Amino acid sequence: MRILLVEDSLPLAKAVTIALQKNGYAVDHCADGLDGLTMAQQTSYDAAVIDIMLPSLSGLEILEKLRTQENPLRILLLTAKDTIQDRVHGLSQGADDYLIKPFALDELLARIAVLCRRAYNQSSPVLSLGSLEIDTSKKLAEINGKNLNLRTREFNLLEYLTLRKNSVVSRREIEEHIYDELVTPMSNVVDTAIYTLRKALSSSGEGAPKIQTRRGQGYLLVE
Amino acid sequence: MTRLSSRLLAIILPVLGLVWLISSGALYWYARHSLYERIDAELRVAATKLPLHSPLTPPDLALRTDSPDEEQTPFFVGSELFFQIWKENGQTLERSHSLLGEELQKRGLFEESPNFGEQTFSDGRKIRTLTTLRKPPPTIQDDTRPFLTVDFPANARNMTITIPADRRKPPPPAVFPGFKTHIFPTNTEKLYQGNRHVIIAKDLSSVEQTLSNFRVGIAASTLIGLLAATLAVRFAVKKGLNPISTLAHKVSLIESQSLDRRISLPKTLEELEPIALGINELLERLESAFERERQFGSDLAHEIRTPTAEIRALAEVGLTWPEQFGPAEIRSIHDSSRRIEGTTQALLDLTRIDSKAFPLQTAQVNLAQTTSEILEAFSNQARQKDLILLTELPSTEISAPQSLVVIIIQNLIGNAIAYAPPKTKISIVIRNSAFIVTNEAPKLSPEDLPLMFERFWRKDTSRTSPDHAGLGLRLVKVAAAQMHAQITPTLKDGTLAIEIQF
Repeated sequence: MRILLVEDSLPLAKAVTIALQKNGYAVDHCADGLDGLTMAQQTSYDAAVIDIMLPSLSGLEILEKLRTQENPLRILLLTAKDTIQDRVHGLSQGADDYLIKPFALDELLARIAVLCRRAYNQSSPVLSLGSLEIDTSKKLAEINGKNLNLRTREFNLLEYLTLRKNSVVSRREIEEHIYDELVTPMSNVVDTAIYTLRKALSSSGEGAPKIQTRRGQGYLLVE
Repeated sequence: MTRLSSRLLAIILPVLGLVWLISSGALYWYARHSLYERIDAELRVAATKLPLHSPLTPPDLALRTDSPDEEQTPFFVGSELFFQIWKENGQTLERSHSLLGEELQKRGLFEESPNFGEQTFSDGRKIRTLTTLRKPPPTIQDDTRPFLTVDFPANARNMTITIPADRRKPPPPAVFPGFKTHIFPTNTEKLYQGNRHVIIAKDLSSVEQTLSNFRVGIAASTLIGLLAATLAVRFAVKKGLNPISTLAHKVSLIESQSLDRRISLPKTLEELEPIALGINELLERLESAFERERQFGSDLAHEIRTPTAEIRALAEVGLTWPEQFGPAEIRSIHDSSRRIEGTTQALLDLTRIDSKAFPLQTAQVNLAQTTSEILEAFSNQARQKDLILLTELPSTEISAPQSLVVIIIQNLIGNAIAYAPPKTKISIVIRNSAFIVTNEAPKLSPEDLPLMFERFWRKDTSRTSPDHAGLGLRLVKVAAAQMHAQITPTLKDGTLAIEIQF
């Protein structure tokens, strides 16, 4: 899952970025409101964490512009503004969630996970495909009860392909949702991850889902 | 709590009562005065009929006759009219029969002009008196001519005889058959020739009775009038205060969440318009104050919550992923805690200065020396931004609280260094007990000048800068106000100058 973080407090942004990355998210951060809007418009993020009081453009203005453009990005407003009016205003502007500073990182991660699931119309933290079961909260992938012991990148790829099961997922989509902006488009990280994941799935026994390659289109996870 | 209607009644009723009493008193005085004038006129008339006990005053003859018809005179026994005449030596010359055993007092006698007065008889009756002086009539020369010839009707019992002035001589008794007539000596030498001091009086009993009845009438009408006035005023006041009750009801509906409401009144109630306007102005001020407080709370929350969030998030990262936690994160936590400390300290200073809990001992403060010491503390920051500090600091001593002077100079210099663009000039000048800091401020507009001294005001609404909370200039303003120093901010061609006149 790829998250956009727009926060002008650099220490806070750093801490949140570390927490998100450690939980398998790809994170793009910027400290300016206008930059944040541009990034949200150009990249298909799974969710965005946006501060309200930002230089150049406020979080509420970003929200308003995105919703005007019918951008469905799931947005969590992260702010020190704590009055009921502030929250109501933020949510009525189109925010999906609202979290007041200071906050517990675990709570932020849980809320972001909910937003990401909502992006794929998934309400349960447990995803399944045939004998494959993925517990997104525990970061655990099992086939027939056997742990696949995937590394973060491979787990994220499997989770994303499972969320998009029975759909062809393009290489670009994988890059956008699994990797952050630091990964260059020309790198072969996606190929490497697909290869590793296929190997893990094929060695897990019968009933494991398969990753099919559609030339020129992308990848498809099927039972 | 006293009701307004009761207060109005307490004011109106005594005033009404006083007006009533004054008008009643004036009416009573007028009635009494009229009655006394009538009595005085009566006394004057009676004085013309006064018998002067002297044969030289023939017109009195008829009055002096002790005939059974004496009651026809004004001074008969039982009459309300009295007189008494004294000689110059104070000896009574004559007195009316109506006096019976009473004696008029010789008050006011021996005065040339007539005067009125009052006396009281021994039985308590009050009388009105007219005191006057009668001069003796001219001496009558012996005259052998026939005195007077009068043809009496057969049944005549009383009559007045008018004698020509040049023939004043008492007639012989035979002239008035059937009348008991006094015989007066014709020897003028035996007659009293001196001035006569006269008091004519009238019993005031009937007048006093009339006035007494009048007083009772006034008292009764006063009581009834006041009672009626009380009811009428109470009704009128209650009716008149209805709009105030409506106004009070409207005001009572306004709460802290609905301070944007305003009072509207019908135009017919002009008297209440100033009250409604006053309330509306108060509501505007309250709304503005509440808005400022809300903004203050919001700004304070941001200033405290953001660094607190930084500390908490970094600490949680350090606890969960220690390998991610290094000197940079420790430095961030340190900086964030310093920000909280700075904000808290500034707020405490503001509160203390506002509540006069700050040390305010006045001392001789050398502005130049204080400024130099503060500049020394800011020299590193200025160097990092390549700022050029131009100073003009002549030795100037002022009498002021040292702590407040330090707060003012420190915040003005700190503010200039923080917000001046890099590689620009900052001028710090002391001139005639005035401290002036000038720096470039390209982002400021004239509209910002009155706002920049508000709590937590920042030109950057995102409040991103971690170094300032927007309390410095507020501290300057509050400290200057405590010292009665004047602040003058000016903005010209993108250059901000703040002058403090100590």
